Amino acid sequence: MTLAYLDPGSGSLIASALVGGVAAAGVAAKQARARFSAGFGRKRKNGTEFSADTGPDAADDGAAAAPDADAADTAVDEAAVGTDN
Amino acid sequence: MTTYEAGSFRDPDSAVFRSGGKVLRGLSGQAADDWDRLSATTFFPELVAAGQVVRTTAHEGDAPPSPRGQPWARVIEHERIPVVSYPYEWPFAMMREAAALHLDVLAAALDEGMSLKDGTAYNVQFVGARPTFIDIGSFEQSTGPWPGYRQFCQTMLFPLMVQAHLGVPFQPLLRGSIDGLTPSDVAGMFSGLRRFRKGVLRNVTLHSVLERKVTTASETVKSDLKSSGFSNELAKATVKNLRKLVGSLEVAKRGSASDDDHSVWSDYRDTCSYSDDDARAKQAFVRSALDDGASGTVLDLGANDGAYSLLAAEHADYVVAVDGDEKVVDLLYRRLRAAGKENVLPLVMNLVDPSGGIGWRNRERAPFVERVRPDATLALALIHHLTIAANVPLPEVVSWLASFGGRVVVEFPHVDDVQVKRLLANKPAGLFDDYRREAFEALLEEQFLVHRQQTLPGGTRTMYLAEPKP
Repeated sequence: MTLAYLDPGSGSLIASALVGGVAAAGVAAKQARARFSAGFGRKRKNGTEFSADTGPDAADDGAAAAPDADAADTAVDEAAVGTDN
Repeated sequence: MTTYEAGSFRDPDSAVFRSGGKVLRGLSGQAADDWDRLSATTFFPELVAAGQVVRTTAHEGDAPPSPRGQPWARVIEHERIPVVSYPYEWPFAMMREAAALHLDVLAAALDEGMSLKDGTAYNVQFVGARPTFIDIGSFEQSTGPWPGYRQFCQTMLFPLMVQAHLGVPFQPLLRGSIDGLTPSDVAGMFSGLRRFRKGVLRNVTLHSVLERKVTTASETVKSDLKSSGFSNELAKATVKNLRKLVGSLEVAKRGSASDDDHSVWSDYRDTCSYSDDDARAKQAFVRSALDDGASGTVLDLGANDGAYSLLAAEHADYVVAVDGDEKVVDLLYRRLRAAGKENVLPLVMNLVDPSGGIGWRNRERAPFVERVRPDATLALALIHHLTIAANVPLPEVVSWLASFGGRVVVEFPHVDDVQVKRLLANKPAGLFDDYRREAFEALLEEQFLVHRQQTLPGGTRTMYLAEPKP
């Protein structure tokens, strides 16, 4: 707690990493598996449909952002797998 | 005499105080190390030279104990900001410039292995139209993800998004909460299809979900991120993406100063009732009034498009142009910024409801009136709006003008002026019978020495130059 005088919030740290890039997704996934108390968004229905975020987020900032968005969604999906299945 | 800035207590490692007219900052041992590191970088002197970071130098001399009672390891001195303003007084374009600057400073720091420990809009001040980063205590060695991301979202990015995407002015929201808008507050505003607006899904929607679901301690998350290979490069990528997003945010139809977007006041100069003769006489009166004594700082109340603020800037060191209409202040800022003006500070504020003290003990951010001590105050085409439209009693208005402490240049539109008639038409007959020139002059003479007065050629408005009685 000495590194920063503000507590940026654990979720915000991960969110900022996700804004930045793909590699952060692995951490998000790890956090997600260990700590999430409940699933995100829609629960999977048939093993192929996951989060509601996939399409829109890819559309969000254009093609350049798509890999990051996918990474984020991967993390989210793994969270769902970890808690709901 | 030493006074700590009431708004500078949150960081235990540094705090700003004033002593002998200087703005000083005490540094802990840790902060002194960071200051040495910062001083040795190449970006820091470059940003200072470009005016993007406040000029800061080592200071020799005694330091008071810190607000927590410990001695400071070092003291540094900052260049003074002429008039302090706060994010809830900035129009959209000012906030966007401030946010872009904050990210640019961070990006430059990351390139040399440093970072910023916070990300609040209060890290930025304006010198005229130029934003400058003031929180030197925020520079630290980069250790992973940007810890200021959350504050940046809450006090800068979300306010910009709310106004750009939803058309909701952010100023009242920021004034209502010193820490800004939380991710979950904003997620509620971007429901349904709105969440697909630019930048919303990741910075708002996902952020708010993570905020709710991740309960691990921040320090654990930090070390997890580090052990998973979170590098400085990734922090840079975050900043780059944010910078791109901030640069792309714009209020609908406000891209250029020549757009067709109108507010109540944005066409004022074209539609107001002055004849050319009146306008010329009024300008000459204001010029001579400002030349008639020291005009270090001029406060232009109800500045509208800033025509008289710019005129005043030719006769004064610094002008603060205040108006309640965000749109006209925004346009004024864009013009000032394009012209590189550094001696006119445009601010959004409802004069009948000016910024009060907010934050800890209502002192962390000072009321507007405590931040500006003008040598001269302009109240042009204003009195009838305060008295008739806003129902402020005339004696109150005159006392208020006196409270600024300097000379006043005030315009009184007579009861038969066409604009006064229009305002009176909105009110029941007889309600404002006390709105008379004689009554105003009597009130003025109670509190002021009237040096000069002149009725404009049109015969329906009188200008006064008055000085508060000692």
